[in-house]
Amino acid sequence: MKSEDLLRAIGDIDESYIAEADSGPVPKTQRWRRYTGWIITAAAAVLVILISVKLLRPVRKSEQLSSANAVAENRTEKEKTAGADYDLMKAEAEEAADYDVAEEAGVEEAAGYDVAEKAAVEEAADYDIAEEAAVEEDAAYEAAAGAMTGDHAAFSASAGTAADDDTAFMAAAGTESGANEVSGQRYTFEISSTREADTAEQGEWLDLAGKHILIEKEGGGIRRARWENESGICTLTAEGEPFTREELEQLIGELA
Amino acid sequence: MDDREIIELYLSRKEQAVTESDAKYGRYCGRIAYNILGDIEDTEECVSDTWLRAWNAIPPTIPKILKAFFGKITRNLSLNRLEKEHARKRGSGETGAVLDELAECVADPRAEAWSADSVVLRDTINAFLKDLPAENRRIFIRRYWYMDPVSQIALDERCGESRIKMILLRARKELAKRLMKEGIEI
Repeated sequence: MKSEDLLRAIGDIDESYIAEADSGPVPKTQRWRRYTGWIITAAAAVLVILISVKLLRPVRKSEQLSSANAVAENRTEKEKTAGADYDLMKAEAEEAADYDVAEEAGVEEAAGYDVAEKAAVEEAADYDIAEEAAVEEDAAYEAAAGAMTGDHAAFSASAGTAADDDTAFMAAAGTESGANEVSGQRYTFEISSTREADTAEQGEWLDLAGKHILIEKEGGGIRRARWENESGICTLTAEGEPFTREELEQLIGELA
Repeated sequence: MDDREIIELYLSRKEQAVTESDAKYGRYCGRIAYNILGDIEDTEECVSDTWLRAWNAIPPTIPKILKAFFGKITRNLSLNRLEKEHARKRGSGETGAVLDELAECVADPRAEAWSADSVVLRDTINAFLKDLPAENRRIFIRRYWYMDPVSQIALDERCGESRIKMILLRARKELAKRLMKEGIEI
């Protein structure tokens, strides 16, 4: 075979190759241009995703808002309940505080009442003493006059009644008292349920007739004696001359 | 006018077909002829002969690709004219260089007989071209079918001539292997 034969044989090739070769070289695409299609596709996909995300976000936001509102409502309900409980507790606490205050006030009032009562008792005791003094003064006046009249007896009786009334009053106030006379010696005797003598009284202590007795001395004698027995505090007061120790021991023995 | 209409003109035996063919493919065919003959007058005659040959061929032949059909006619006419008028005189156009290059693919360039079956040879060359990369195939055909100068191919392909020459050398070696493999006498 000659080269001319080969040249002619080449001339008989497929016409598509002939047309392809004459169309010229395909313009070489730059490297980045090869990926242009992919880049455009990816950009479109990203755009679609962004748009869908942006569209979906308000829906989710509204859902979140609704759920947040629901939570807030629940919270509000809880807070309301808690607030109501708190209000109730606060009211109860205030009420309790008021009650405490009232109770305290009541206690204080009761204490005030006790004080007033004590003052009333003391006042009554003073009244009794004054009454007794008046009676004694009347009796002394009558004795000095040397006449024992029915009026005087009536008076004495009435005075005794009055004294009994006072005794009853004092007994009602928790104090018993009485005016007596032993060996010509007038004295008053009180029994008080309160124990004021323990704290208020001052004096000298004696042991007479088996009792521990607080005495107030006056002019060498004993003006008042106090001791404690089952009924309360017993007070024995000399109305005239002070008691001697023997007289006081005898009186206590008799009274006991 | 598109190829279908030109073919219709040939089929209807209208002389306008020659005019339309020359207007559309005269330059194309002239390039092929000039690459082989290297002479303007011979080229013009070859191109004119091309329209006459086409007028005689259509019908009955109906070309699939009109451009390639005209190109083939021009090429064959040009080679015939070259053989006839110059009696193996090398020196006109690219033909001499092309023949020297293709001589690498044949065992005895001076052998007179062509023992190989032309159909087998054509199929072998088509298979070889099919397996070539598109760029290499385009360069190969431009050089050995259109007989374009290497410099022009390099210019059109935007690369150096050495690269074109290297591609052509590898292609020729591959073609020689194919021909040997198919038992074509080389």
